[in-house]
Amino acid sequence: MEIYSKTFIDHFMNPRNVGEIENPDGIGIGENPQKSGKIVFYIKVKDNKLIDIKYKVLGCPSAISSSSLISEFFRDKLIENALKIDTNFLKENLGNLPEDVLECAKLSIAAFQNAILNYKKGGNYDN
Amino acid sequence: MYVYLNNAATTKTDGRVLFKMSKYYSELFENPMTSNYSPLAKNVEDEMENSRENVAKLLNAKRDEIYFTSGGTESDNWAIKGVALSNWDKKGEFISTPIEHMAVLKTLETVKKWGFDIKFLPVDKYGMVDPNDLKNLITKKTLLVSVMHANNEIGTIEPIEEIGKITKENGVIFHTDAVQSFCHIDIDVNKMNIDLLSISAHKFYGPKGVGALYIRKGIDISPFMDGGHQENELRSGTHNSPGIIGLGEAVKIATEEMEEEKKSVLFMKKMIEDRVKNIEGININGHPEKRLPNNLSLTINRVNAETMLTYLAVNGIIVSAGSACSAKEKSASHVLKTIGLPDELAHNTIRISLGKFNLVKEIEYFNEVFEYGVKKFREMAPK
Ligand SMILES: Cc1ncc(COP(=O)(O)O)c(C=O)c1O
Repeated sequence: MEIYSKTFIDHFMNPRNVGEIENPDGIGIGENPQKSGKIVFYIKVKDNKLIDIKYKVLGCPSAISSSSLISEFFRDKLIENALKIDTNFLKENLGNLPEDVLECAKLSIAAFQNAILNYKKGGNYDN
Repeated sequence: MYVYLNNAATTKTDGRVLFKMSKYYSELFENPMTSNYSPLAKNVEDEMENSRENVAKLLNAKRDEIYFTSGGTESDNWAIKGVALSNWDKKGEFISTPIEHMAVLKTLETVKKWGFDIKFLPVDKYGMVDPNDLKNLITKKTLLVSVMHANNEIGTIEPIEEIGKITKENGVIFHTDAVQSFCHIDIDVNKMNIDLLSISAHKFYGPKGVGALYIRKGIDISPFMDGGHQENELRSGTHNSPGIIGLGEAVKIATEEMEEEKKSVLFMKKMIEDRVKNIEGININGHPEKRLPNNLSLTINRVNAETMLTYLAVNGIIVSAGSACSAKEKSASHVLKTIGLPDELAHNTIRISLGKFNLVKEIEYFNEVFEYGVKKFREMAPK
């Protein structure tokens, strides 16, 4: 268990903001090739700010903790900030994630950033 | 609450075993091979021979057919490499299954590099070997057939007796990895025509780092560890006397208590199975009847195994995903793949393995926590 930090376990056991948003402004998906992990992010944007972030997640603990952290951290932040992050952001906030779990954690960043890109393209998520 | 449900990985050493061993670290520490006239060393030697006798009795073997090793991995290595070394000049082929433990599979890879041929028997969706396939596969060039007695991940018990008949008829050496089965279910090396058999003490409430290889008298197998003259010149190295004596004590206890343990773990396993049957989308892997009493391999649709494992661990419950040894491997387990589980379902599979120290109240607690977890993580999953 000690591979995970207290913050990590807190997010894992009590994930924040799980769910879907009705009529979101953007949706993004992150999925791994083996199909063992899938994350979907939903965002609401107002004045370039993320006013609501929700997600659904199937995957390993780091997929859950990272998604939870992202949803909490970026609320009311400018979308441009969100596009800059990489796994270092997760390492700084969730403790040092071992290499083998980083792959799953990357899925949550991908899903989140895809949601923002989707918003920028006009939020057409039917394709 | 701390609930240990990972007994297939290793077991807690029985207090009686530990008590017996401690003396052989303190006052009875002498090396019987070099202190010829010491009464203390004589005691150590006698106790090690008792150990050998206990193992032999439970296998229906003879005392001088039991060779102590450092555990299951060494025994598997020795069985396969030892037979290869004895047939170095003429070479030949080995037959095994794709669901063996890595201790067998990796060793086979090595003897393949040495110039021997390796063939694999197919297994069905339960991981079961069909003895008829062996009849077709075995040739004049076959040196050794190695089929595990019970699988460590899914618990399936292989048709060892039927396989033994075929190897005997063909004059081929038969090795079985009985690391998961010895001291848990019955084994008779004569009835089953087993020539070589691997065991490991830490899987039956004995100490870690000690095991044995049963070698039927007359079988041509070369030493694997060269050195001094221990174990009839076949396995050198100063005896791990406390370990060997601990192993013997664990076997003695199992001989008396095996039936009771079987009943108790079966009862508790049924408690989990009954609960699981009421939750949709959970599949039990391995053969429905021919399986280890303590093993329960569950594939839980739409719940990642690592997530279930971590969630259970935070709640004090220890289970495993795949096999213990492959827990660090990110690719899905070779056993689950071989029985036809697609990648994403292999990643949703956990192994629960009960033991004699488990209590009914622990299982009640597990059931509550588990069911809640399945519900929680499924609700979080995208459609
Ligand atoms: C079937 C099987 N064979 C061999 C081994 C290796 O045994 P040991 O840990 O004693 O080296 C194990 C244990 O992990 C096992 O389950």
